[in-house]
Amino acid sequence: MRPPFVLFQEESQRLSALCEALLRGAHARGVFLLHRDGQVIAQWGDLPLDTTALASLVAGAVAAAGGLAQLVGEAPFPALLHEGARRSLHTSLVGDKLLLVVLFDERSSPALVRLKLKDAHRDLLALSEDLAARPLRALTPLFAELSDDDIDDLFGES
Amino acid sequence: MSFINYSSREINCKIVYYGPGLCGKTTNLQYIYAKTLPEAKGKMISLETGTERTLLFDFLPISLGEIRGFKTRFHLFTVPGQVFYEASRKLILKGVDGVVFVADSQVERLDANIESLESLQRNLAEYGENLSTIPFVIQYNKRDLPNAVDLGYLQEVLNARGVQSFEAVATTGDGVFDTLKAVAKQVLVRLKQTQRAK
Repeated sequence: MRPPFVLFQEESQRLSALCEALLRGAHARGVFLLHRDGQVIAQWGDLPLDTTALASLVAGAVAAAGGLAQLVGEAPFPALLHEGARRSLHTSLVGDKLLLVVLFDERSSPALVRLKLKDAHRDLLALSEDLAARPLRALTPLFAELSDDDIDDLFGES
Repeated sequence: MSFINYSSREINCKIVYYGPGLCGKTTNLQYIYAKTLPEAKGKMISLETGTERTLLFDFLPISLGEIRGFKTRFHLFTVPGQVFYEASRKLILKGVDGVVFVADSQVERLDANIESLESLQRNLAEYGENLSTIPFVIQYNKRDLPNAVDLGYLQEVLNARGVQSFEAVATTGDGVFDTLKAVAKQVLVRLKQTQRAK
């Protein structure tokens, strides 16, 4: 079983600074950092959205696009653009684990989003490498403390 | 793959319901959705064909309560059961933390169950996983039908490993939550063991 993806408070703060800068710079309505397996890691913006559903659908779309790329003999497509009449979604791969989704409307454009994503990608990749380099033992103090009784309590079996 | 967020104090895990076409995977999720309190569930998404068969997946996020101050959230997925959607099934297994195999108890579906279980093993192997290492339970669904195969025979054919198994009638909800609780518990226990082993 693969180890869990863990995000600590201070790493969340670094992510916030990066993605809030992208949100402002790209005049976007929302920025979402997702794991490729479909988990929401963090989100920024003011639109009331079901981000859990968004994450699973985007992960599905990226996985399907990856399958298509393989089928036509191409490396995974680095970005997907879903362009609508009012709102659009730009999804890009960050390393091999993360997805960055930018939701924008008529206040922005695909070109502006792509431009602002260049800096964000570089910084997110650096952060992602820092996360990967953490010692495994430090990852989950929660589980080191967790007892069998804690798990039984959750299911009303103690 | 599970995701632990210390900032929002959440543990997120992914469970996939696997099985042959029309075995009741979507019905399991629909029952869970119907019986879960609004504050403990998200929107259920079904990507279907025009004939109400699952095309890509069904998806339902639910919360099972708190553990040491962390919300436990499980993302439930089903795979499309029809034989020709093998590529979709493989994609949905990516990052899975626990699997429920929903078997159709009807005698006519015995071969379809075996074929689907073999496809599950094959697809998990592509991600470096197997049924001995991943949290895994079997649900024998449609136990109310007159043509349901004897339970002992189903166990012999589909459950050589002797994993936890449940009889169910997903349309009425019998066995649905027992199955979900069993796999969710296995996922958390496995997470704990994985961390201790490091």
